[in-house]
Amino acid sequence: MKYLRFSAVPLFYMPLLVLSTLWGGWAPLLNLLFIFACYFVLDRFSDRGDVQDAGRWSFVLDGLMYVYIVQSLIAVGAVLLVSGGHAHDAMQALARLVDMPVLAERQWTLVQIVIASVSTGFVLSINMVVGHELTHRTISKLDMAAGNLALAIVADSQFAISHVHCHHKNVATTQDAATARRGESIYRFIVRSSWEQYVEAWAFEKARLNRLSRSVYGLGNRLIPGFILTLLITAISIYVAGVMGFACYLIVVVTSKVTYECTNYIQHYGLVRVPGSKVRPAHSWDCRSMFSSAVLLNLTRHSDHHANPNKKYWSLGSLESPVLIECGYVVQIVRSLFPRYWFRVMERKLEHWENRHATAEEVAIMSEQRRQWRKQNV
Amino acid sequence: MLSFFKKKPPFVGQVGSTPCQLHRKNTILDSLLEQGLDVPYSCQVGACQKCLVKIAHGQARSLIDLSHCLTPSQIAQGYVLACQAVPQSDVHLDFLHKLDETTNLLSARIEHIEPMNEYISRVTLSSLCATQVGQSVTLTIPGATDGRSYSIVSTSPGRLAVDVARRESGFYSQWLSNNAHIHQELSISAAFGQFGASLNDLSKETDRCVAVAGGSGLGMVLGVLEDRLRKYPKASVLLMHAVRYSSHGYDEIRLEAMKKQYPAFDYRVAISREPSSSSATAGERVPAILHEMFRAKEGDRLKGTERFLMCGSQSLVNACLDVLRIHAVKKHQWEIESFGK
Repeated sequence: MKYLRFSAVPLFYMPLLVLSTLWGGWAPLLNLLFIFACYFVLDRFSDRGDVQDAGRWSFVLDGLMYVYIVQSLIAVGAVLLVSGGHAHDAMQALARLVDMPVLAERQWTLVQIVIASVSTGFVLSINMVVGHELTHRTISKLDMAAGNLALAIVADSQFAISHVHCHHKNVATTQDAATARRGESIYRFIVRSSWEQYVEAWAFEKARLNRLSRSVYGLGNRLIPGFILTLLITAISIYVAGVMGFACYLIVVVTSKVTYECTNYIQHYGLVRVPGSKVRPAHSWDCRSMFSSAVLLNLTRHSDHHANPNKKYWSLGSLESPVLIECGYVVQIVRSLFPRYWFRVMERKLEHWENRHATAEEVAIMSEQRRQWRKQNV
Repeated sequence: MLSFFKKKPPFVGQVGSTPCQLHRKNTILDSLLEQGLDVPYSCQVGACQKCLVKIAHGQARSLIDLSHCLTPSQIAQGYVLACQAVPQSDVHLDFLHKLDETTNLLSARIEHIEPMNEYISRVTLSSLCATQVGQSVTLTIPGATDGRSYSIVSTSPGRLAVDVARRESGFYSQWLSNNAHIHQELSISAAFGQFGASLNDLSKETDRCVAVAGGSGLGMVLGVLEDRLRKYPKASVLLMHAVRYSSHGYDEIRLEAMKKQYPAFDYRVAISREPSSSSATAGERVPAILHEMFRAKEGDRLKGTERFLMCGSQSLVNACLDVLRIHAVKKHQWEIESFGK
């Protein structure tokens, strides 16, 4: 059962995504709505919160991520086939193969192709989750390479640098690009965080290479191989499906990035920490919702991840999560799309955090924030 | 053949006097925490450097490129990040940071600020902190949370001095070289590191030492060389001070006095952005001078058997190291300390 729990995406949702894209019509939209419905209904159930043991077959849990990466390439390929008009031939061949004439009659309008791209982008935000898990495993070069590939597919190879070297170091401080400030709307955060992550990743590599007296524009810059891989996928998109292929790949990439930034937004919203002090579980909002945890490889157990970044995804989780958000990630993201409502909900949580979990220095930082707001008449 | 598939036993580690087991496929930090040892750490991803540890004995492999967070000198001395290193043999571990650094902070008071040239000031502090020339201390000015490390250029009972290079955008350097802050209190960490320790192995006076100091690194290098010359007044020592402009030189009176006092001591000031103007200066970069000295057939020729001390910016130290490597100088013959970009 514990192996099945984390296999929902590679064994069910990814095949469904590819099939819905190739099926055409309104299938991609229905697929997207189905995924949302799963989040809304199944996230009402919570995990027990205790630690999962991988048992004897932990390689199965590792293997699921590798299967997923291959599937994500297939999903991008399916979008390109559809957008380039090559899917007719593929579907006719498939219709002959399985003797289903209905497959040969599939049609894709422009709107449906765009919806298929958005749907693929939404699901492929899991590439960031898989890339995140694998690029934390510095002990294995294979895992690191696979993680960088997963990130390059969704054109966000900078994440391996900015997340590990900047976000983990600076989490819950104003120096961190990926920590949402108290009172910052999700729309502003997506733009600011996306831009600043690129800036900090580039600055990090530049400083590192300067110390080695090497050029920042050479292959020694760890961002460049990822950029080249993304450019290669873009070139293949244009080769296979022309301008339409490029546009659809762009939609996939942007949707994936925006979706992942939405999760970044809710993970540390409003929390503060003294720069340089030890990261505690209370510096992340933890979420025990069952479905989100299963499909996002326990990214939801974020408190434990920041306190113990070397833990494998299946062993994340603790019964002692001090600060919780409920109903799962997608419900929280939908809430955050309405800033006034979101601020009201989170203010209550932040007050509780300040009273129960903040250190004296952190309370002082929050007081200073309030003083600044009063000054600016916010 | 079958022994290849057998599970290999863990390595034996030692933290201070505490023995421990280090699994071959775990990071050093993970193994230590698994056994419940109290060691300093924070981020566990190789970003915060709290778990910086010296491999005093044995070998460990770093999982990440350490050049982004450690100086070449620290890497050369065998420092790794425990959260990003796996053991390769039995190891003795010496953690740089203590468990709670705040308890180790002492206070210091600024006694005197002496401008050495247009951008370097020598700041004398009174403190009970035990220090030696060649060590470094972390100073934390009032209101700041992150400290900055400075090399000690001279010590006397209850006092120490550091050279501060003033940068336009440098908050710390501006504060420390501001005369208005004389008599102000600040925090000072326990002294760490020991630049110039390798000179203790050079017992023979005939062993030559070539020192390179870049910019504000001169103070510490001079202090270290003075210690050696006091012990061995006939020791052969060549010092090269790398500066951009002639106005950036300092401590000339002290250098001249040393030249008079110690016959085998000589110094040159290498000015990289101006032509040469006197016999003691050279309008050239230090790496080029070193290269020429290695290639010289006679006169002041370097053989590659000298002891090299280098303290300066990353780029200066890296460029000098490139020259030493070209001329096959062995690793144990150089000691480096670098700062800034």
